Amino acid sequence: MKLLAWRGLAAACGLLLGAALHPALPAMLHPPPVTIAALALLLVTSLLAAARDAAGRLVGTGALVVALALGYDGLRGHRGLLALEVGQGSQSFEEEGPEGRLLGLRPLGFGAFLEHVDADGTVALRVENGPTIAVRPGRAASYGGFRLGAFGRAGSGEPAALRLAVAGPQGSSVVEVRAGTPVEADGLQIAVEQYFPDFALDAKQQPYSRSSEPRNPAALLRVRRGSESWRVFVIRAMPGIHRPAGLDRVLSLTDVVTTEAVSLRVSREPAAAAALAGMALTALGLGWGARPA
Amino acid sequence: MNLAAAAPAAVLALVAAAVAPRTLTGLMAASAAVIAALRPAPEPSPEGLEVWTLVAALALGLAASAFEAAAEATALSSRIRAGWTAAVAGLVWVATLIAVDGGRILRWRYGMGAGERRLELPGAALVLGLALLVTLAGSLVTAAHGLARAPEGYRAGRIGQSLLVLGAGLGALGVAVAAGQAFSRSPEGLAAGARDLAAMLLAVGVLVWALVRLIVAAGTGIVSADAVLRSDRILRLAAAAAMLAAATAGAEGWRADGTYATATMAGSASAALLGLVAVQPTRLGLARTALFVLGLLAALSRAA
Repeated sequence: MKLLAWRGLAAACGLLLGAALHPALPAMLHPPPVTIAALALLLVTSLLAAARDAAGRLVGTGALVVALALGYDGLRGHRGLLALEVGQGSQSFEEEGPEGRLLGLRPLGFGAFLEHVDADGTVALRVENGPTIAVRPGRAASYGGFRLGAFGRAGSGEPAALRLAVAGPQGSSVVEVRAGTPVEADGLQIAVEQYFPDFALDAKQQPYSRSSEPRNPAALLRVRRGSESWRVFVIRAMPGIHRPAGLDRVLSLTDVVTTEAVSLRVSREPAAAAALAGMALTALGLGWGARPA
Repeated sequence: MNLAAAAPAAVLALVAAAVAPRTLTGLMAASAAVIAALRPAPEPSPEGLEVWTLVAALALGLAASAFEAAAEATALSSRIRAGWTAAVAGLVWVATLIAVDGGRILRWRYGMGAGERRLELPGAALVLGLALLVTLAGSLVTAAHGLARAPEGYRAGRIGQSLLVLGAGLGALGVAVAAGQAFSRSPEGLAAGARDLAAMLLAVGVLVWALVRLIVAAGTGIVSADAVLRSDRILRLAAAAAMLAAATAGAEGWRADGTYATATMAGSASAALLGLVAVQPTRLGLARTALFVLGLLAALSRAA
């Protein structure tokens, strides 16, 4: 009991816990959850054992409430991500464990469909047999015991389709080509062979993409007409730059149609209010201890 | 206006001017003001102004004030301790110089920004590099003097002190040269290096403060028990404010992202725990208070 009431123990536990919780700590130095729980338990016990007055007991009680709440949320809470494209639905989300480790799919308990995404980033989720939930950037929404927050717009770099202009003797037409699905246009069969969202040439003059953002989109197309076949390079910055011999059409990449998709942060933290109230209680105890004797 | 940076600077200035007037708090307010003045206003955040930064700034101001009072008490009670404070302040300045701009100062290079917009400042690099070497030498000599427990006025102590004064002077000159060169050549580069500049200003300010304590005040005063008690009370208030800042960060994370388990909350909770550590009546009080101040600085600089 004397050791537990020693202030040095509280100081040492608090110091180690503060270091363990700091977000700048490299992942390899993160202690396992059981160590963090043991340190928190020691800190709380030491604070309560060393308390000499009401302010000290308030600090200890507040710390105890925080530790219990965090422990409860650690055991019974769930956190993860839900990635959806417009029109897509899901009844589960990808659960994340400590350190962001993926734990697999966890049921939401309801079906959610992504209706649309507004220009300001507001996400409209339609719940199966239920209301439409609006998740705004900076303003999470609650449903079915979960909190849903905007995490970001998904950018896989893969476009939904490439919009191509095909110009020939009979006039020009516009066609959208999806990867893996050839389309017929003006007597030609056009398929995407390779796509470069941010086209560049390396030191050996080999094409590559500098990023997954469609900043300088380009593509290599496979064009067929009967038994003839061509490979045509198109780049949005230079329309009609490549005109292979024997092909009497000019192909230009006019636009990239991107997929509208979002990631939502899904959280169930039943003891969140208790954790925050415990912190406020600890702050009150510390402040009360500062009053003149 | 860069409200996200200006609001904490205003809180620090308020603490420095009215609540707990101290040199360190004033220095921190000045450094925060440098960031607010140089950095362009960001896009309006959907979360709006983060209240936790204001509470954390209040905690930082109070903690810095309590730290200064505690350091003053130890410096007044012993010239050797004042020497140690100056040596540590010198090492903090050296560490800051190494940390800014990714440690390029060790290769006699210093600049602001990154990529194509990077602004190289060879003149400032030379002055800051010299400041680093001179301050490091001064800190080591002063520390050696302290370890040897040599009598007051011994040559090593005087040399260490002179080197530290020179290092602080070169440092202040280097910061001024860097700011002047960057302002005349590329205000955008200056904005990109605002945080580094503010960190250097704060670190060199801390060194100057420690040297002033060493040269002028050491051995001339008596620390009253009231002053120590007042410092303890301010430290407890700082710890309470830091805990409240962590709770606010958690509530803001829960409201905006749907969870309180955010990196901001983790950083502020870590600083709050250091506050709880600092108020424990046990050994190494000054070091624990310094850690608390550093923790709050780290949490706020991540948000800046």
